[in-house]
Amino acid sequence: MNIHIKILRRKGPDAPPFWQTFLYETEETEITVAAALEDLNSREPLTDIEGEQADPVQWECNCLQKKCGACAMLVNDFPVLACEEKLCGHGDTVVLEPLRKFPVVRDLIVDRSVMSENLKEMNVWLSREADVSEDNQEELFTASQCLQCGCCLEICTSYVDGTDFYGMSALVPAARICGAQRDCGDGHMRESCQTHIFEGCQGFNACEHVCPAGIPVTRLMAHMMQTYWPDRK
Amino acid sequence: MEERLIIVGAGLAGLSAAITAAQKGMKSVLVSLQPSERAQSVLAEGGISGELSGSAEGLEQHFQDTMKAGGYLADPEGVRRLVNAAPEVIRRLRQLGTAFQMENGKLVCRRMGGHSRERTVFVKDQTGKAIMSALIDEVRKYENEKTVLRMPHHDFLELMIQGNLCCGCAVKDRYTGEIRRLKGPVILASGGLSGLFPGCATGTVHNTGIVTAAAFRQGVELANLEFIQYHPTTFQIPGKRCLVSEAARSEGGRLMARRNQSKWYFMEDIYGEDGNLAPRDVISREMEKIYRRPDCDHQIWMDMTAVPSEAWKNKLSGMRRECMDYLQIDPAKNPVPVEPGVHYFMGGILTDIYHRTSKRFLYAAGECACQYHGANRLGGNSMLGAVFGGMTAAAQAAAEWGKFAASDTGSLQSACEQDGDGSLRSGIKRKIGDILYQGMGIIRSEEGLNRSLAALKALGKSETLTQAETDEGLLGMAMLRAALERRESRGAHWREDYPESQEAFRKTTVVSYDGQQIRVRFRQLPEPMEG
Repeated sequence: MNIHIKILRRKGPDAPPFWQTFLYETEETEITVAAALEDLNSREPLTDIEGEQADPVQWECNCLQKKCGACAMLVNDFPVLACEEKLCGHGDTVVLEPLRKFPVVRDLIVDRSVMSENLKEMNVWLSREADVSEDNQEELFTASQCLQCGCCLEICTSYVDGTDFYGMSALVPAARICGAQRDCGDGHMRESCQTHIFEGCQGFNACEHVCPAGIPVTRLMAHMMQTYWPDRK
Repeated sequence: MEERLIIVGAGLAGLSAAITAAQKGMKSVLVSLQPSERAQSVLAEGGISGELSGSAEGLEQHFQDTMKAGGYLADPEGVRRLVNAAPEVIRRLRQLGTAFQMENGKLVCRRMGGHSRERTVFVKDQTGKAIMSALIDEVRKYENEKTVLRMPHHDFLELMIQGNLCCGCAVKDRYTGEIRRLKGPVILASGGLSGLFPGCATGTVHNTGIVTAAAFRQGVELANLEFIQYHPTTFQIPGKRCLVSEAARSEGGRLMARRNQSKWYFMEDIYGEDGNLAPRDVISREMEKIYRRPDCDHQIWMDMTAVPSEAWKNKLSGMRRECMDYLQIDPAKNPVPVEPGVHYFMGGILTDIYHRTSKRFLYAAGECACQYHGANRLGGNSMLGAVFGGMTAAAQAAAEWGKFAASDTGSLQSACEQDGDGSLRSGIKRKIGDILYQGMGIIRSEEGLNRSLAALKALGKSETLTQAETDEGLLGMAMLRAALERRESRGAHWREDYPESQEAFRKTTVVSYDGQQIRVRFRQLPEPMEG
């Protein structure tokens, strides 16, 4: 089968974006977008559908098995991990774009450092030794699984970089800290969760739908608010 | 930037080093290609081993198991320190909020292959991810107070070496292209070499070994490169191999072949009822033999249909999902086809028990270092080695900080020979990988190794290679040379032309490069210490 892979490319943060389409022939119905990109980049030379020579497509990947979150991108307008998303099943054209909520570095690579900066600003770390036992091990496991891939922020209608709402990529690590020390930490983290997570979430739950790690973020947030913010108005 | 301890790699060993350095009041900079969430350490599944009782007998057993599985090739003093520290390492990880599985008020331990008893704690089958999340949160505290600086999206280019001193390294920002020369002692925590075998390994794409390769080109000695662990139970997914964790066998998974059309649980048949828990090198070799038998099908299976439902729910849920997602097989109901895949590199940068390398003020920890695993690594010992190695390297760097500050490291500009080209083209990577995979398979021979060596040399002549590609080729040749010179079979190094272990070879293979030639020598092991 012949598939057109249409990619929104950009040579640098300030360079103009342009579309480039590649023809990809495969008989493998299970091939992932990541594998197809890797295949394209191993072509020497790489040529587009017009027969023009093209630079290798810049994208990030590492584990190729849904565990590191590096390869998050938009496939036909939906945030996914390229190592999970199948190339087939999208019709004869698959459109790849960088996540839109983050600054583009090159092609499909975006700078997602805002997520770690937000966690730092919220003081998301233990303020004392963790208290781990059978009753909180499931909660801690769940809250340790965030990939920081950015898919939840991409789909979120409330998240815009530079505003107060930090989204679920901040909630999940904060939930781990709350669960581990069985409270909401020092004053700053407590206030930050209020300001940067609880108050901004409109509860559409699209984040949970797209989370590649399958983290039940609404349940985590409900548990967190109920257990560690019982006096929350 | 002021002088800081430079840590190259932000996985388990790197984060562990950064935390120890911060606790000792030493500022550090964590240089990595990607954020810690993307490190290979997040893939580690089975658990982390340690004798929680801390009893002398238990510690001795862990020591003996590790030495035996490693073909008595690891430095006994280093292994002794490792196993003795393990209970404290696990306690510390729990303090940071790693929820190792508990039942009835106690930590649950599983028995991994090659261990004489249950001593591996775990977080379902996502232990690495859980530990990494805990360490990332802890490092964030130090980032906030500027004790730890992060430099993500940076390529390591090369060390800055003057004579026998390492005085820093050059790095390049992948986002901006800016090259920076960082001054300070360096800990290499850059992971294993799985990227040298693209498509055939369970590790991550970015663990190309390029840091190790550049260091080798610059004269840093490597050791035991011939010992590559093939994990017996992996399956192919697009671009790589996916692991069926050894934990599955500790929960009742059984390896099965078809002999004369009938099911054959060969490991139990050959090695008795505990056969499925034999060390990984033993199982992989038996599988290789089955592939060569005319009475057996060329497909081997992991039969996990007898694994209890409680284990699927609480211990192996991630692996079950992977089998269903990638193979469309529910392993609780049907056997899963498996084959050995490149999984772990016991060899790497030669270190002493303090994680010092052959250059002063250069240290190495984690999978890039050769220290604890001898000829074959036991399950649960890799994360232990990474965390403990990072701690040890940072403690040693802190102890030597005064000497570094007083040493004459000269001008950094002149020390850096060249900026290098850190790019590795996928086509060249695949060619190098294919050549190495041919020679460095589970069962090796002089003929096959020589053929691969000749092919690598020819590749260097027929293609115009970047500096990084040249370095990778050099590292591949060093690996092949080490495998050629070790004319015996031990642990993960199996020579069909020299099938026996030889006491004369119970030595460390040391490989060095002087700018012209690769040299291989065998170094006497230190004598074991009293327990």
